Amino acid sequence: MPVTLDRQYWPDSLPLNGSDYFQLLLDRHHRRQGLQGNVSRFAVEVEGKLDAAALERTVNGDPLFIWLHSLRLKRRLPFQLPQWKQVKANRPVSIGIHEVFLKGHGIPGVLFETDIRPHSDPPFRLDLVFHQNNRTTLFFTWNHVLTDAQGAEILIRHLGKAIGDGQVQFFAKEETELPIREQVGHARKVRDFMFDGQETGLSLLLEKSGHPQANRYRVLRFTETETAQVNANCKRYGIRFGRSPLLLAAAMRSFHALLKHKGKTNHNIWVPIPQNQRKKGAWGPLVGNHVSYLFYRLFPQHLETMQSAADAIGEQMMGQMRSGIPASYGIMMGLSRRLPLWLYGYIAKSPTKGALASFFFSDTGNTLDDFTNFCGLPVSDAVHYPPNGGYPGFTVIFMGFQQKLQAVIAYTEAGVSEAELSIFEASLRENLFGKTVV
Amino acid sequence: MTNTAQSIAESLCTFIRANLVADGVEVTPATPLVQMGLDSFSLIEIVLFVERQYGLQLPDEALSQENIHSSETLANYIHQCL
Repeated sequence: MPVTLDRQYWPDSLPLNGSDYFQLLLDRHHRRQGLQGNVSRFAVEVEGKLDAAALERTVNGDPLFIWLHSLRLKRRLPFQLPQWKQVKANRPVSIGIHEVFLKGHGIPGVLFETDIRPHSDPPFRLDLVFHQNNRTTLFFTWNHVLTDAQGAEILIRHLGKAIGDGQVQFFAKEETELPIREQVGHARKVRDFMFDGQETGLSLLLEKSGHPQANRYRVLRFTETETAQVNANCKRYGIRFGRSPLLLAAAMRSFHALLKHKGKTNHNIWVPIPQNQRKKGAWGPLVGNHVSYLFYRLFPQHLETMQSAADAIGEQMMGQMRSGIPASYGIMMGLSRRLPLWLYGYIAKSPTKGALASFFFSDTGNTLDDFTNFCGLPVSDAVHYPPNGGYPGFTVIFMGFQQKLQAVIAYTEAGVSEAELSIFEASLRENLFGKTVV
Repeated sequence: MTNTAQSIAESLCTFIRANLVADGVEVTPATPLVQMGLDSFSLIEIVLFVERQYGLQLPDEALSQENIHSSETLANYIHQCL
């Protein structure tokens, strides 16, 4: 029997934070330019058969899942704060069952086509894929307005009993808002930063929007040796803070190579990078997006070598951290919550003339390195599939899983053909590992 | 006031507690930074805090595994540089 929600703990409504509202803006953007909204996916494969009925009972007996499943975005009047609202007649969570007869990690294509409309649909869905090789994939699909990739990981670990009871922090603490004048000052700083140097416009695979097509994904898995090579290359290029700058440098150089291959002039490549704002050492907050952004702009001269790209990225990263751009962007996103989406979109997209980025990039870090058990079964694979719209139509996400690096490229055929993607992949591998492997 | 290695370590701990880690996470001068769950951006925040607080730009060699093992080891390095 489903557990009754404790109303004191699970609120009837929950305002979106600035980062959530930015994701809602992206939902609108993706929906206009593609065939679905800002929908993310997280696939966890285990060795053995997961018991679908038992999992469904667990989900429907968990107040957290019941509450999350009951949320819908409330339509609001202009300048009211956007918020989630609980629907009263919420149906139990039903887990979709799929059987595949392919070897390997095959996931039915239909699971990548599911859309989640945050105003009318439950904000997440769960599916189980049973493979022929006695493995099962739990496929979690959610609208990004609900939470970010790390929030999804925490939720799935909570479901799989991989985190002890009571350890998960569900909600963010309420933060004191700065006086409005200070918030506006931060927004101005962000605006000046975003417009600076955008005279030539950013380089894109597609010159203009209007190519709604289904997303395609290519998963790149790297061996332990290759992962060690990437870590060694960080040292070689003098990268001091994690491996993200190297991964970004490699992706930007490969994108540059792709533009060249397609005969497109590269004015500059502009990529916003999410930065996790959660306090460290805790499992949470689970609900909501907790990211701000850093922005990198590399000109062709920066992209000549991996060293020059890594140097430019390192310099821009330190410069933005020193001048507090991520913090100011976070405040700007909070301030923008009262704006209607069309106006917010106009303001947010104007520096980039509508595309928001040359391509989207993210690195979830090593959060899945210790993810070895789900519902008592060994975890054999875990992959994030990022949202992707028709414009700019290209997304690269890196993640670590059990000490091995992997990447997912999301794209549409309007922007990149399979053959072109192979060129990008080959270039990416060369940039990451160099010619020699340790 | 003269900065001792101990006072620098305490100051680093206060900064980490206030800005980087969740409530309840143990932060002592000897606690390994990795154990607190700090990531590369946290390390940048620490480097920038050292710049602001002590007017000291940490060179690449300052961020060796040994030096950034804990607040205590980093404080010892900073103290030598001041």
